[in-house]
Amino acid sequence: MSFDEVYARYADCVYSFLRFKLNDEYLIEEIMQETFLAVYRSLDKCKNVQSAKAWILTIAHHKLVDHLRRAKHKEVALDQNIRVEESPSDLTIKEILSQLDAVSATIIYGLYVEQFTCEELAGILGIPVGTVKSKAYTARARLRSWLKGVEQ
Amino acid sequence: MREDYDHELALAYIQGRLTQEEKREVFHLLMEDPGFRELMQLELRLAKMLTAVKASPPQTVAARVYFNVTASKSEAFTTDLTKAILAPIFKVSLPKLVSLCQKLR
Repeated sequence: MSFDEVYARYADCVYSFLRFKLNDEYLIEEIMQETFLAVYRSLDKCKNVQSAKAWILTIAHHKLVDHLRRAKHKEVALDQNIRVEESPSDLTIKEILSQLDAVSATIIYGLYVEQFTCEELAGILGIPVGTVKSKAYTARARLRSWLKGVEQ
Repeated sequence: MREDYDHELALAYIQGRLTQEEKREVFHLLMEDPGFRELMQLELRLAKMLTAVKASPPQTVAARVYFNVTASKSEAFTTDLTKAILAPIFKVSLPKLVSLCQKLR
């Protein structure tokens, strides 16, 4: 796969993930650029990975963590993850996400939005598969019960 | 245990990862088990709400990132070219050029 193909296929996915995690449009762009720069530099590795999407998001996650550490930026609270200009659906999502801690929210994002497996998410986040599974189980139960409460 | 399995099945359905056999099982459970039906309804609603989070970069951002990355590629290429070809040439020819200039003076 050429860099152009990789970029065309995964730019949305990286941007969406970073936008989910951050509230700062400049920082999102910066990390997106660093991610694709790293992807370009090790493009040959892309052939050997099981899932190119998981590989690229792992890079994006590392870049994000590096950035947050360097800049001593705190990951924005979950209720600030969604941008300022909110549509009614954003508000609902905001409510959903405010039920969870940051890691659980990322796991839920990975499972439902990007359709990753627990194994892939463990690789991306650098945590054991068992932790991903138990966090996913608890978070899903919590969200279902929240949703049930809202609907009643 | 059964509950765990149903939750796994529901998630696999959402992710489109069910085998033919599992699809038949889900279909059967949807028809026969009201608890599973409720679970699936909640999961589908959740999935629909969460996928609304998905966003695409504004065109200007996508274009700028692409340009900057590809520009750094050509920058790296120029540096490599300089190191590989031009530097050895200068290394050999420059001292000669300098001594020639000195002689001409």
